[in-house]
Amino acid sequence: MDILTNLMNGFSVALQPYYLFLILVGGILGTVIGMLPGLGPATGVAILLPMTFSMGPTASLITMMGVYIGAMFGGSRSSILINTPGDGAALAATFDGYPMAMKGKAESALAISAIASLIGGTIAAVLMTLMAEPVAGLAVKFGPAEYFLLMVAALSMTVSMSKGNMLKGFLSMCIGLAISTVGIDGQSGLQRFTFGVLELQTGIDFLVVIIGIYALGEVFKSFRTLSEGGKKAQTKFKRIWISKEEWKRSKWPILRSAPVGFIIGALPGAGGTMASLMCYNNEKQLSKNKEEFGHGAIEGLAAPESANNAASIGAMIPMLSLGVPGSGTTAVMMGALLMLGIQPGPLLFAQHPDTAWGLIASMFVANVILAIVNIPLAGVLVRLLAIPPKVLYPIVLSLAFVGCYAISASVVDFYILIILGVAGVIMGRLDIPTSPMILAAIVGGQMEQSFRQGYRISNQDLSVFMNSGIAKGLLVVILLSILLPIISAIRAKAAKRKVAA
Amino acid sequence: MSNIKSNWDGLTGLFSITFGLAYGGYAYSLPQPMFGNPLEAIFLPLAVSAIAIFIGVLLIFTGGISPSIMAIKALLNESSQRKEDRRKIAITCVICIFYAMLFEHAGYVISTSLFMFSTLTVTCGKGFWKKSALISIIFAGGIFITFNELLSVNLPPFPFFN
Repeated sequence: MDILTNLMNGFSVALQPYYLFLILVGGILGTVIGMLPGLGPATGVAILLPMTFSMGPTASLITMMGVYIGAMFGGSRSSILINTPGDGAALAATFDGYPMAMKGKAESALAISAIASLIGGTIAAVLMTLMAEPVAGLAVKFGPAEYFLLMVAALSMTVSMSKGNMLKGFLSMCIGLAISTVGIDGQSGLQRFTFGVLELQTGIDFLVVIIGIYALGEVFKSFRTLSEGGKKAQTKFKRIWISKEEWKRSKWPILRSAPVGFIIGALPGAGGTMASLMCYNNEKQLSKNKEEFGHGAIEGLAAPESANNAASIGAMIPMLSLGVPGSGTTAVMMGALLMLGIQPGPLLFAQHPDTAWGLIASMFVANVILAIVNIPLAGVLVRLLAIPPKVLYPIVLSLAFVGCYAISASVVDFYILIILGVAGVIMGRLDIPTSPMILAAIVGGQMEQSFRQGYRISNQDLSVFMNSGIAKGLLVVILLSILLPIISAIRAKAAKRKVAA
Repeated sequence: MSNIKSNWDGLTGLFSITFGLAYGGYAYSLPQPMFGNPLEAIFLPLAVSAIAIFIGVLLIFTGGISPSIMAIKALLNESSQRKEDRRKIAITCVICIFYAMLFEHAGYVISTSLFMFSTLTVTCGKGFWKKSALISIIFAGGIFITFNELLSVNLPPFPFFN
């Protein structure tokens, strides 16, 4: 009952005309950025972040939520029309979305993608409403030792998601942790790794890391597609809607994929890409028309679209309830909240109920608004795909720099941004995943402080990190997340050898 | 015929070891804090350093060095188009550095117009210069007004106005 009352209060915030306007503007901008090949929601939220600086915390978060969900909606437009996903989460939409467009069913593909996103997002928002406060209630029991272990668990899970690249995932995590140690140490006052540069005394802002890797790095990587030439997108459509038969085929895949996407999204590091690919494969296994998959099966588009929107909302759970971001986008949102003096985590619901519940209600509202925008206006929005990337990428670069300056008002961060952009390209080339580095740069500082607090409180007794039930549970999660991928890799190798023999 | 597939594991391992040694060495040479446990401030850096070195050794052990040498050779022998892409990235980086140097001295509008014009020339070619100039000026002016007037984020003003 309490949850319902809180949610209603949230709606009374989110449905105010000012917030509706912000969701609409944020959603359209997010859709536009999400459509651009290579630029996902994290980049979108990061470069549009300065837009929210003059707003209050609630307005700022609601705008970013609009951008986030808009980018998730937009990501699949380019997958369907030009076979180029806006970001990883929209990759699965190319498998059947593009073949549908090639068969003259672009209208159905665009419509089902928006409908699946709306339903998936709404189911996930319901689950979020039910789970956010209980999870936050559990987190209140966390002491410094448990917080330290929680962050180690988030890191180890993110590293374990680096499929086939776990060692490189660990290296990426080390680089991120090294970044987090730059600046004056809060507990001893010692200057660490500042190399005498005054501006580095306050450390490297993780938003700069995110903008560097996601915006500059992705644009640099996309230079390759410039030389390959852009693909022409269909910009004229008949009525964008689906037939009864298409709905009949899609409804169960949509409903099945949403909860799966939500759960995967809530796991740190997993995100929309894994959720959408997993749900695509699930539907393929369950379908009676397996042979149609990859050739324009509408279920093959509906399931991943539902899953990736649900995952984007699931990723908000660890950020809002535990204060640990589960994805790059939620990391940017958390950074914005911290800049506004609000600490996400278990106390957010008690101390800032308007912000927390307003945000949750805005997830419902944003999904509806974005579906309304994306179905009838799809024809208008996709015209942007006709703008050549060679014009758009310099604009994104400029926005990245202005976003960075708005965060710190220091040009020293420009140099860091450039170094990280180049690092993003090199890491891509060497197959080093970037997510562990970004998460480590975000949680590294807090993780270190929690460790030292726990260590001091226990009079330098390390057993504090394994005394409580929560600590033991988290240690099991850490061990499993490291050992399971190793065991499965060894088993896969053994099976391969057996086949070869 | 060799069955070895090229990969970057060995080279990544070497980098990891070098990074671990340099980072750990620097952490160890940091002055001791005035109060508290003298090692507390370097706990994490030393742990990170140890993990990086360990990972580096494992990467070299599992990946080997020869596949990395093959990967470097393959990179050097890539098509001229790929080399041109890399050249464009390098030029853009240099432009970004000049932009950073100019930003506060020339003000947002002038430095950004120049930056945009240069990057558009890299991506679109010299033949596009009129449109590039127009896009650059409109974009820089538009962003300056939006940020300074609407969003209350102060960007560096024109150098000749105070």
